Amino acid sequence: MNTASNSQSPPRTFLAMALFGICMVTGMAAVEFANMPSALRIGLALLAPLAFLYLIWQWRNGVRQMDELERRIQLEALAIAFPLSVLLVLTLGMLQRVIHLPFEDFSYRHLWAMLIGIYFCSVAIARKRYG
Amino acid sequence: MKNKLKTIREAKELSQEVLGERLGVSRQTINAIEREKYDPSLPLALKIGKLFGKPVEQIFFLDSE
Repeated sequence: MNTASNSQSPPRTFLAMALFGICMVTGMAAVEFANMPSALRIGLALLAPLAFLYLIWQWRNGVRQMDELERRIQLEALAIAFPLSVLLVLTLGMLQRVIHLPFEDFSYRHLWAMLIGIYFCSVAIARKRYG
Repeated sequence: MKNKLKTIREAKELSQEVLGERLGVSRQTINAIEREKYDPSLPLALKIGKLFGKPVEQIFFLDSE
């Protein structure tokens, strides 16, 4: 995401990623402490989505500072990633009707990780077109 | 769209990076334009023309031309 005019975004984006990572670990760890009040566990679990919202905000700011080619790559990546994400959810939804998809492997949290993976693959595909 | 950007740039002895800095875009953008993998936006094409003192039509032209 680095461009000639992009000087502030990378450190803030990495900071947002680090913050998200910490919140994610905290949220996942909250499940382990069954004696913790429910409201507190829910609060800790929701830290990660809030941190991710901040990360999305920084990513958006980074995209706005990119030059036109990088912005085009991001747009094409999203145009690839969104339909693939829909396809993935549809496939899993249909499979779920006929076979047992274990929660340990196909929870919303795993699905989220798959969608993020689809986005990064899409960026690589889009970038290759102009490379 | 085809272009003569690389020829014009090299005639001025400019690197892709320097040209990119002067135009406010990345070196990758200049490279993609020169390799005809990416067509610049109108504002960028006009900036390129102005930088080299040439009409845009002398730098960029349609595939059929």
